[in-house]
Amino acid sequence: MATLSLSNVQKQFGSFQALRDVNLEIGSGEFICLLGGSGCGKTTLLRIIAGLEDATSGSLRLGDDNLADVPCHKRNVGMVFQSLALFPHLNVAQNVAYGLDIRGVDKAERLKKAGALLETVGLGGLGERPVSALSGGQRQRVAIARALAIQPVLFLMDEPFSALDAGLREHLQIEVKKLQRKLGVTTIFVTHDQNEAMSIADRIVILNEGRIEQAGTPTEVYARPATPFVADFMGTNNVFEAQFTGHDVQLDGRSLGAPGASFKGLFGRHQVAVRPEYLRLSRPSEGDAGLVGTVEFVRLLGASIETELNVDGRTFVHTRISDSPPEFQVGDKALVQFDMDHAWMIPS
Amino acid sequence: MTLLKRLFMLTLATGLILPFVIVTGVSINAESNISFPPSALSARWYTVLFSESDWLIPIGNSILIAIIAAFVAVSIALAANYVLWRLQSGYGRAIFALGIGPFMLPPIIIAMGASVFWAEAGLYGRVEATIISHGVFFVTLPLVIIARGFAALSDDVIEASRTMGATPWQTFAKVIFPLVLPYVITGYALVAIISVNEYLISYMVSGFAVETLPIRIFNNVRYGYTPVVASAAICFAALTVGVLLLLSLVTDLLKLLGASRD
Amino acid sequence: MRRAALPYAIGLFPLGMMVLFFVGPLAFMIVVSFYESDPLGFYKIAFVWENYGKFFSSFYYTISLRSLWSASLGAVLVVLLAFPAMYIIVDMPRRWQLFWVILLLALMCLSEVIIGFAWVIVLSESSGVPKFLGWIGLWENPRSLAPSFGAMMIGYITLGFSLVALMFFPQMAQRDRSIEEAALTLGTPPLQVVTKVILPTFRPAILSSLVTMFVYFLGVYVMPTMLGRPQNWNMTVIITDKAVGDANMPLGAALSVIMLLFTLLVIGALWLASRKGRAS
Repeated sequence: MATLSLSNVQKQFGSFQALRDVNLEIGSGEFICLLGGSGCGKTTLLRIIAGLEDATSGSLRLGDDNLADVPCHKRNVGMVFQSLALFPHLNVAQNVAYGLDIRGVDKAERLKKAGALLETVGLGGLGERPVSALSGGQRQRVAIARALAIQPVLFLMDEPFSALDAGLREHLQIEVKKLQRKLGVTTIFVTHDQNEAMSIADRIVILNEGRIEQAGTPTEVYARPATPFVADFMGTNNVFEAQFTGHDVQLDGRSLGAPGASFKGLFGRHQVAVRPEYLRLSRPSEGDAGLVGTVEFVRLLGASIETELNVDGRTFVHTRISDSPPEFQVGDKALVQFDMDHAWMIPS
Repeated sequence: MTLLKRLFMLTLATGLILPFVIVTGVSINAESNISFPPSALSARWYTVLFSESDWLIPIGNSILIAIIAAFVAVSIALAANYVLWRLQSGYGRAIFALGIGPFMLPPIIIAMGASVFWAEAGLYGRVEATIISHGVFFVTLPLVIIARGFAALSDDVIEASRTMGATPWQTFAKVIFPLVLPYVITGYALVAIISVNEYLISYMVSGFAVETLPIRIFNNVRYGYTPVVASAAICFAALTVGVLLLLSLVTDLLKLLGASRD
Repeated sequence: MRRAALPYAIGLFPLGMMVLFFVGPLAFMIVVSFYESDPLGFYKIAFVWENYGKFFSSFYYTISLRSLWSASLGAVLVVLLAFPAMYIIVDMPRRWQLFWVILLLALMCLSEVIIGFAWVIVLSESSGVPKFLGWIGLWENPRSLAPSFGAMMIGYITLGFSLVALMFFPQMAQRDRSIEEAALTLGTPPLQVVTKVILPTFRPAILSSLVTMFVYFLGVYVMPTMLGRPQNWNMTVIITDKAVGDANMPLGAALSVIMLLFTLLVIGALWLASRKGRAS
């Protein structure tokens, strides 16, 4: 197998620019998640890789081959569609064996292979059923088996689990990840759900308005967001613009404490992201010069307690392990401090 | 591929539209024999169409039949759909299936049946017979269209209305009817147009006594004709397209015909 | 119980109308088919098989075969044209879709008489295609192309095209386009996608539109009389001529009953086939 490399890929739909200057290298056997909100271009990018859409400009190579010259039906990519797109006129085994049928594999052989694949995805013995008789999760598995049956060079999935309920979704995520590791197939998975991306991807590619904002491992994009958009999209970060004065960090003229080792000697205004577990809350004393906010919401999330505060119209989120009952109630005043040793400065 | 597609669609559109372009040409030709392209333009055949009783009487008959027949068809379709929607039982489905029946059979069988029936009932040759037959036999289209309207009604809306204290009748008048009204209007308009255009049933039920416009045109074409027929045909086509355009302004025709799930 | 009584009562109106004016006439037609014809009135009450007996003659065999041939050919041609056309139309921009839908609706509503007349003009030597061909020198001595079997088929196609296209419309517009894309990613060449995936998924719709058109064309009257020669006339023309022209209603009724039975047989066969298709 070979590396998939995209360089300067652009896509224009009429006056709408769906993809701008996308550069990406995907190594053999990697599990990549394309993550972003609706209309960010993630599905368009996947469809260009599949050959269902042509890029307006830019190049697309797989190893030494120029993929742009290869029509979709010759690319040998296995794709799982958002609607699944199972063939309604074929039964389960025929659906899985379809790609082999096209490739001229004889009937006994392809049904044997389909049976083995169905076994792998946990649908052994259901081959004779019509696809309409299956549950949502079972149909998912058929779609996955069908895409893998052709031993694809790329395994593409377009928000495959978006219609499933949370429990089943998590279960299938784990299964897909295990299956992918076992087969070692290069996989590109499109999703809008950052938790899904975090839990299955080797590398996450975050797209916004047709541009790649950041590409990195789940830990990297979570802990060290490259742009304010990523910091915001990855959810729980507290993002704000702080004034660094060398020995002090200030927000709206109020001191947040010492800058910590990593920001020592830093001057000027910078975007800072602090994860909620590195916020500290305490009872304010009279005339406190720090950030004092009002507790707006407190919720128990099993292992942790989440507290939402309003400080002069800004929202901050704090979490801590729920080893003792919450000490703040809605309406309480709290002093907010940051552990600046664990703050991340977003490069501008 | 795209070129082939375009060529195919262009050929089809030409085949479907060209006849009417030529007929239009014939209808505005000043000469009394049918010919195209026209040698001199004149509106005289349109004047004849709207001034001679030979043509005015069939026009009047056709319009009268259409207006009442469409009302009959839509009332049957609305009632049948309401019953099916309320009951969802074999009774409702049986009524609905009866309404689909006329569409499934060749028109001649229906026309023949109507012919002997009205002969026996003593109404053979009366306009009432044509009206009722049209009303009953064209019920399928509004039935299917109004069914879309009922399918789009969610139970929640009805239950919401009931929890607010509306009686079933008030719920029907204030919630259900307004929601299915676009479908009812479309159904009415389509039946009216189809009735105006229908030949065989009108002919076999009371053709010799109540001459409708299609019967008049048919007889004219069969037994030697003048360009008045062309002007009548064009008025017809214009009326049909006009009603449909009007309809497309007040309702979403694509949705009504099932372009998307309701 | 009380609550359901009202819908039942309302149901009596459509039920009554359909039974009285749709089922009733058909039933009475069956009765009349056993009556004797009466040259002075409509018919005489009797019970004779004579009207059915007349059907079993070479004249009616020929007419029947001719009707079956023209109806099936018409049905196949219409579906062959309407299927790809609608397939293209549903992917057009909304404005063009609306244009086509209005054109199709207009043609569906437009009288057979008008469509027939329009084609008579188009195919005539005085104003239509033959005149044009003569004028540009492709045809030295242009003659009218109607009446003829070909002209009659053109009439059938114009008549049925809109109906079939509109029947395909909902399913085609709502179809899951990614099924075709899935076939492509699995290695199906674009042309094979049609035979491997599109046609099989539309098989029931194609079958039922074929049958609908076949049944519809069995019962057309205007197109054969306006655009066909007497030797192309179908059973419907003969029934109408017997019943109205010769005032022999019992014979017309008997021939209609035979056509009715045949139609029910065809529809029944389709229904069975579709049930079997669903079960497998």
